[in-house]
Amino acid sequence: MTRHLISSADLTRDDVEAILETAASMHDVQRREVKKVPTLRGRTIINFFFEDSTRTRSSFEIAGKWMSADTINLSAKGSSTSKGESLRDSVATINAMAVDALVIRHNQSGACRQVAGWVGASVINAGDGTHEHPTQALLDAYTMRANLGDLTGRHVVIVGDLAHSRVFRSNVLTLATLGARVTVVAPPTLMPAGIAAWSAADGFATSWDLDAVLADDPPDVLMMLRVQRERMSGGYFPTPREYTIGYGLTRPRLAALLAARPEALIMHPGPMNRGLEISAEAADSPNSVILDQVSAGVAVRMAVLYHLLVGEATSGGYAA
Amino acid sequence: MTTLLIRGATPFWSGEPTADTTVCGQATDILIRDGLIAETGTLGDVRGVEVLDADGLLLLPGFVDLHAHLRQPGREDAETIASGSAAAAVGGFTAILAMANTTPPTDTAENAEYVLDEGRRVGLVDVQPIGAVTKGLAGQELAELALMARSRARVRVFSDDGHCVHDARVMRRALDYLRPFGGVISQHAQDGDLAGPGACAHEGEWSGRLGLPGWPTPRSRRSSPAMRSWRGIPDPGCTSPTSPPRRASRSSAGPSSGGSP
Repeated sequence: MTRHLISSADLTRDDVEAILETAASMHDVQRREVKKVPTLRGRTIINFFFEDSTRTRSSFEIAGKWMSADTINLSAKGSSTSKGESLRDSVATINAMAVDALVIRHNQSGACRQVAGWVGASVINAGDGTHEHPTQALLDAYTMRANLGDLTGRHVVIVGDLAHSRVFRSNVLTLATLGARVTVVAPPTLMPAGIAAWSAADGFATSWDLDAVLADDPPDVLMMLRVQRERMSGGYFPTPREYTIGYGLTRPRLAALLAARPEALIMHPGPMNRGLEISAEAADSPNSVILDQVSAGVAVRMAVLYHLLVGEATSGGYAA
Repeated sequence: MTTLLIRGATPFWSGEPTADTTVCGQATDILIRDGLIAETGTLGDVRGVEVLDADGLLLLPGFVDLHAHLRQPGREDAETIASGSAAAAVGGFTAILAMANTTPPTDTAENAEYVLDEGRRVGLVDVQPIGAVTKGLAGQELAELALMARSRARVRVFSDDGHCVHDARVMRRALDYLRPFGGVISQHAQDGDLAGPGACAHEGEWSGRLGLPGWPTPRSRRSSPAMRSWRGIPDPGCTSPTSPPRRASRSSAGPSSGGSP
């Protein structure tokens, strides 16, 4: 791994293990009354969000602040971007201020990789278009391991709008790194192009039939992805009702899952469309770890900032 | 015009084509006077001429680029007739046809003559404007095809390029209309409705992995349903533009167990 975190493919198993281990100790900080460590004192982190975000941006901000870094948030709205400044000029301007890390969310796939070539700061991908969201995959792995231990051989099923999901793309990489078995489920119109060749090369399974997957190989983890209602107008599926009946985690499906696998984890990267891809019963069930994911988000992002900005040059080589 | 002597060049091809003609002729000297080949063969000393040593080099006819974007007028920040001409000349192109999608587009005789004149002023290669098929490249009404053809620019190739002529009736009228002056239409044969507005990659495994919106392409011959039926290859039951998902290896879920459309 370089000094950037652009793709989950950049992380070796040792890298992931080290980050998750650090995250565990950061999680302890989070439970203290005084949630502050001096680790990143004097460092400057800019969260540059070209796309709306609540949880990712606030968790990066909290992560930086709890580690005593100076954290500044910028959004496209209200910045020079809205005056027509190019991405390159915007980040060059920020870079000229000698910041240590740039956390970037952008609506274009590949934007973070571009930026990493232009700046001296460490670049952290906080979501680029429909490409990747590596810290989400790390916090998902953290949450799974906290509940299941080692993920080797565990079956993780990811359901939803795979074609447009960066959460899926990063998760499938990190879960492979950690040895989990993955099945992804979506209607054909929400499968990414070329999924047959991709899944064959990377060793995950695909299906159009959620009920068959739940019945034949009940998952240890069922991850429901957000389905944007805009996809309906794009003709990806006819009605929300039809989607929910085919691919939602409805009450009957929840019952079927828990009958087969009482300890199964229910996950969702948020924000949820209750009643569309996930029922209220599922979202609020004792098996749901959706808020644990949010909580882990801060600890994992503290760990990522630590390893990129401070961490010793370990064998994994992800140090600054 | 100066006189130029090219020494020892190997012409790419010379002589009458036959099934077993070698692509290269014999090395030869070539004397060019006033822009025309004056003499070939082994030439002795020629006084007062510029000599180009072409020993071991291949001599090719000037290339013609049928589809160049010179961006002028309107996008001189991206390219100009001068910069495009220079690039063409360096690459061995002696004539380039300039696409009509400038601002304003080349959809009148006056605009076509502007491109022609600017190309001549630069003077590096022949710059021949392509005319728009429809006014403003909008695909609705025919542009002044005949006036462009009769102009000094003598436009013979017409194209709306990336805007494509979507309306079959407009296309038919255009093809009919240009028969008297022997024009041709160069159609960018693509249906933009098949791709999303952000399409920027060939649709396939890598556009899927990278999360880039893809341009659909005719599926590989193996997986297109039509091609499959021609070749007698069994159809796995998926007719969607995305590939059929791989059968789940650890479950019976998949195309054959109720997932197929």
